[in-house]
Amino acid sequence: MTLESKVPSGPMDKRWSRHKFDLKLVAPANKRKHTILVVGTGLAGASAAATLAELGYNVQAFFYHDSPRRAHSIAAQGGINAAKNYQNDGDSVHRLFYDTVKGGDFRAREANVHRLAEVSVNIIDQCVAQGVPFARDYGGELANRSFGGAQVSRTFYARGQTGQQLLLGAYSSLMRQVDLGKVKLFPRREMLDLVVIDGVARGIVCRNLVTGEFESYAGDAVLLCTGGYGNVFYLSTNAKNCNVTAAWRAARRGAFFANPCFTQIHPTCIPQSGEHQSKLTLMSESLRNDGRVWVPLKKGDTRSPREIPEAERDYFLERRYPSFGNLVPRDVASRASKAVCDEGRGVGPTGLSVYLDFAASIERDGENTIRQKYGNLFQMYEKITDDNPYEVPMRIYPAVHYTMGGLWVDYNLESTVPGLFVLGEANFSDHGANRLGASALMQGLADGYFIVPYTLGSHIAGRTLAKVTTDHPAFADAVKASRDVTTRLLAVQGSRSVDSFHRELGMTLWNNCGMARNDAGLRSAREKIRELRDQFWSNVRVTGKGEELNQTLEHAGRVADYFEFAELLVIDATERQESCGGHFREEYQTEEGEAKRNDDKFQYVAAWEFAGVGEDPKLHKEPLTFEEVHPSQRSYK
Amino acid sequence: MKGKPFFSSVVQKLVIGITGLLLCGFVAAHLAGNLLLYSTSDRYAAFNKYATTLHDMTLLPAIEIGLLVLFVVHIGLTLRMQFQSQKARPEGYAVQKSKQGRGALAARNVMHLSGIVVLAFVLLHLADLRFGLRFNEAGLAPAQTVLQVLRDPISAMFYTVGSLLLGYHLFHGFQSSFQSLGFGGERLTRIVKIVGILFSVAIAVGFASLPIWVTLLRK
Amino acid sequence: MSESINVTLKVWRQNGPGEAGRFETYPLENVSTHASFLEMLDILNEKLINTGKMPVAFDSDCREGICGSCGLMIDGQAHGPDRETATCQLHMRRFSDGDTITIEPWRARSFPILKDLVVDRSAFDRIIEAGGYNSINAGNAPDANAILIPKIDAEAAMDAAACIGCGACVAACKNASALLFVSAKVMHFARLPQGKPERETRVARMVAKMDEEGFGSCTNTTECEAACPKGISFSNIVSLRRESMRAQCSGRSTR
Repeated sequence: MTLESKVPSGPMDKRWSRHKFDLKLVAPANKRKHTILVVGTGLAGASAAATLAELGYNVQAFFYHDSPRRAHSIAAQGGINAAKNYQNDGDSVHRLFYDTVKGGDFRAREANVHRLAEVSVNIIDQCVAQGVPFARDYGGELANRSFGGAQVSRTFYARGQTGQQLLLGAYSSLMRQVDLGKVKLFPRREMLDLVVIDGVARGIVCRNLVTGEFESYAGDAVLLCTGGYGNVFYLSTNAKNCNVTAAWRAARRGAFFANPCFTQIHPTCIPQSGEHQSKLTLMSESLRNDGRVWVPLKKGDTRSPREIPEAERDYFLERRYPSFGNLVPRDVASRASKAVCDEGRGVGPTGLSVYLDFAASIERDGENTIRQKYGNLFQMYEKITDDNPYEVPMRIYPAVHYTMGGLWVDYNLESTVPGLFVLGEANFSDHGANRLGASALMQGLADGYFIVPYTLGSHIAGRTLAKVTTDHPAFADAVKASRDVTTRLLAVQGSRSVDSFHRELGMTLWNNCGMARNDAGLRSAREKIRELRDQFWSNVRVTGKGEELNQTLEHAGRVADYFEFAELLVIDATERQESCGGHFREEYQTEEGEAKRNDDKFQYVAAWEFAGVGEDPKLHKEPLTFEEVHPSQRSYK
Repeated sequence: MKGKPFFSSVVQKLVIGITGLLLCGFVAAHLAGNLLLYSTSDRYAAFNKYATTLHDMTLLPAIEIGLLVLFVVHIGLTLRMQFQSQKARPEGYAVQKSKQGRGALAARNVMHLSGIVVLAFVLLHLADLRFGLRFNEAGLAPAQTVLQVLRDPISAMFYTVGSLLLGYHLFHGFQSSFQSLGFGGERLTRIVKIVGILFSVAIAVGFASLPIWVTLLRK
Repeated sequence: MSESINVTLKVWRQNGPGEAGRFETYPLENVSTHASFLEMLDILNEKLINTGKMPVAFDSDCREGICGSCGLMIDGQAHGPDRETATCQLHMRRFSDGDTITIEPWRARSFPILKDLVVDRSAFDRIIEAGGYNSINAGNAPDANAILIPKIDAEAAMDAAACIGCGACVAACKNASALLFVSAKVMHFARLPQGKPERETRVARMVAKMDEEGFGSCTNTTECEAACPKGISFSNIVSLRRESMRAQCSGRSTR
């Protein structure tokens, strides 16, 4: 099978308009004859479900929360990019496109990124019309701030709760369609399988998390909007329930998984405080606009930060990257922090953190200004750590935050399984090997509001879709397969908790496939993952029954999928013998310790075809070409 | 789509608030009349004149019916609301503690209790001085009837307690009524709060002062 | 301050909706004071699983106070003793060695218990469904700066929009009233020009839906404001009452 990206030809800035014209349309009267299953109700899922319903499709929305408003998009703090150029500082669609391709270290598909930059302006309009209360200036116009990795102010924000407000906007549109009878909600359902009939995605199997029943739903297309897989590392900034299960089960049914090794480690997270830690908390990247990152010059300096004189501090980001300073992209900042900690200059009880210091900006702008900008973030920090960041510097350390990899999709956001579309963080397409700040919200909403509503037509109008009901034997097979996994998990009755397996898996990945990776480590990690997986299936302990609300069982199913997926992640990282973006292979670095790409050999998307548990997956390559932004060594000096 | 606008919980509370405020007006006027008792000269002539004029008013029955309606609506809707609230939480908490510092006995939390005591007091009060059911000596002037009632120590105590609880009821009720009417804004809220406190204290002290004064000085 | 404490937990256990529940008591030793309250429950659950017992079911997701999933009645206070703090942000340093901590689910007829500490808050979704939106289709929005919004109005709208829909207002209210939640959404839209076209129907429909869902009636005790992890102001309720009156008087409250 060859990967067809379906990227239209012609000038870059005309491709999307041309493609929209070329796409087949579904007549309004016909739309209501089609049912679309949307899995996940974060930014991508809620916006897609609402917009498709507005167009006239019948939509069924599935989510494992009690309400669609709780998806993890809600936790995004900093903002959303858009090429509005309201600040008159030289921004444009082309510049946002350029920054994103470069920021992604030339591993994203150019045409997708250009489209993203084009529709970014519509997103802001749409959100304002929905009633999203973005920050404004005194004249009543929208305010902007600059964000890591960009030299223009193009980030729109709603205090430190931008994701929340955008999600509530999409959620309100979704609920309007529920009110109008066009969307039916299925809360507390976890998708456990994709049903493929005659090679086309025609349904899903869910477990009802309250009753434990397995339920089948048939439709004409399935949209996966199920987020990223960061929790495979156990500790991440993702919400506790974020998981790879829906995407992975789709991969097992034939959807290729692309670039799983591209994971983003965010530089400004609150460091781990102890063994009990269940998740990590991000401190918005916007803090780097006013905070200065430093460590002591001397190793093992245990003085309190305020006692260390200026001359004995190393502001290592400002030193290494004078032109971007503290605002270098996330992957660069994270690696630099890791490097100083590896040198033994890290601070805090574990030596695994660096200071983010606001003393200079408080002195310059006054405590009140800082409080207005970051008050809620400072308060959050103090709640967690019991330290007052107005007085002592924050301590931060990188943590897994986002996953650029995901299910492979073509220009239409359709996966290798026809009829299965993948949106938002769950797909791989727009961020390459590293995502820029404030771009995730942009991508999720672009996919849902402005892309899939058009591209879905290519599938609905372009293929003959026979009527399918859940009586089709493929549904019974999928239900059986899902039930078998549950039954097996309950039958093990071993002696180790799901959580302890998950922690050990996460630790293995973090140590060998985290901020820095090397061949030997990756190979040992693969062995370790396989061993752990065997132990898991022979010794895990899941209490309770399948026919009830059973959170341990839910977690066990997710961890079981992580064990299969983690192996693929490590294989992909082993295979990609270059450093790019968030994927840093120690063997491939410049003399200054920066990531060194190998464009001759690895300028492609690695799309993996599942071949069975424990079997080597099959690699398919989608070559990447760069016509507008020519690959260069990223430099933030 | 058609809602049930006139019976929504918000409108219900609005009506409770409006009737409450009108009753506050009545209470204030009543107190003003009562305070005439402190003018003792000429065997309480001022108070007697006021009372007689009031009783001889042709509109009196209409006013009395109006007051009765206010009471009935205020109490009736409150009972309905209370009933709805109890239904809204059929199973209570094993432990419940306020996050506002003062606990379960704060005025806002005991409105129904203070209300019941006030109602009992009002009924007794009507029995005594409107219908003369307890003390019925013919030929007494209004002021003398009042003094006769208040000279009875048990009555005096009950009238004092009733007055104080009325004040406590208004302590929350006054500002709550304004809130139910949608009077908001930071400054307005503060003003209403202060006026409410002054009003409720004035009512409590004003009414309670009479039985105390009679007991201590007018035996 | 000591780094770890011993506590006794009194936890509400209930097998399923409508079933009888009971308190169970669990001693828990050496809990780090740096652990969050939910991490303390994770430790308890790990212990229960290791002894073959069913862990305590509770909702939680983001664990940074924004998704609104978590919500426990801790010693009789919604989200525990701290102001403007969701359960997941509460830390064990707030408790002392030897404390007995009572943990209950939100209790309201409109929030039926599904299991242990997990309740069904879909009534909130149904209230939003009844008008908690601007009727705007994707694709036909004017330029975002076409309508200027005074900063003060945008900020006031944001203050109300910060609600996370956790249900603590209902849980803490002695009447189980949902008026703080409803008023936050109504006032978020009412303060923005984009929310004006549907202003009257929105408040009328959402209040009617709230009543229909069986929430109690607000008596202005302001306990909701004290319990709200996002500090949503009680003044929203007062403003809602004004909105409500305005809608009645306009004669445009039905559609």
